[in-house]
Amino acid sequence: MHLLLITGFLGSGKTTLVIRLARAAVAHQQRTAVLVNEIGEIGIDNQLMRQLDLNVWELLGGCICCTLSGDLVSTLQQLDRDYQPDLVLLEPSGAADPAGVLRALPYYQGAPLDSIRKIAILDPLRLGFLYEVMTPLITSTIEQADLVLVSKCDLASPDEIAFARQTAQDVKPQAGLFQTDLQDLSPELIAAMLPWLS
Amino acid sequence: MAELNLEPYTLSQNWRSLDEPVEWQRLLAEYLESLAQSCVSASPACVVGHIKALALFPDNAYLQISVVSPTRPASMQGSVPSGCRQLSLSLNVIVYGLEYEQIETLTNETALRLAQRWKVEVQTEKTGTRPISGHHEHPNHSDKERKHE
Repeated sequence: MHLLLITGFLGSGKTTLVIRLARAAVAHQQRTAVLVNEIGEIGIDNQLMRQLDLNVWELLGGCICCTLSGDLVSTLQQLDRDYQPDLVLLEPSGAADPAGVLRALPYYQGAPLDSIRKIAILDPLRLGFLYEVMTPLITSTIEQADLVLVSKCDLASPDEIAFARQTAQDVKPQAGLFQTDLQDLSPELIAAMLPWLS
Repeated sequence: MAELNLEPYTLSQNWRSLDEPVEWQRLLAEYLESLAQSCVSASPACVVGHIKALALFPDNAYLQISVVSPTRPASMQGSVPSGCRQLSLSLNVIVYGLEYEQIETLTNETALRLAQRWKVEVQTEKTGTRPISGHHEHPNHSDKERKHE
């Protein structure tokens, strides 16, 4: 079972990416599960994913980096036991600190994970503002990532994209860095996120 | 910047046309945009995290609306089936720096104001419970913590 952790601040494009990746994985005959966490009790993303016929497990009304970290572990174990997916796409709430999510994972006691990949999404349209008011959260998100995705490149200005790329490189120069509009994921980008498919 | 609390307000509403068919996309985009502006007017220090809404329809149809800033237009995916006179809307208002009751009041006041102007009816079906802890804060979220390091 491969685990792909998709992180990023609220509204950065995580759900759009998860839907695209889930469809790409299913097209490669991967048994795919989406585990979505929403901070609110009445979820939105989980309902949308169900409407799009994805296999969705949900953790609502809290954050898997803190209040729901135990539920994250038990849900992963339940997934492994009952569904045995090839791939789990894990989308924490946009308020979650990825470091907290990763601290919970060693408590998972199901089948050994084949890989854990961490992808951070940066919204260049408001990174300048958010980086100022929520520096620690944004920094932690980038620090934990294997791969950073600058999203909404169809809407952002060249300066906004350049700032996002520079921020990612400053915080974690060794992370892979891509930019996209999230609508059409290139084969190269999918291969970077789901390398075992190729 | 002061430490920012986060108390998400979630609810589902029923919207119903009283007269002619309604341009639901325009109405609901205006709703979320107005709500984001109302939040910032209530507290200029607040940060709009994500205000998002979803309406589901038969045959896998849906309308998703999203606002992340008081100064940017709503983004939308999907569409409302033609002739739709009634819809159920799930709404998440995730805004840092406002109390739960403030968000609740702003959400309902904005909905009622728009309903009157668009000649539709809106009713809250249910709301999520207030977070037990009251606030969702992590030690590394806000800038204040960083400055104190």
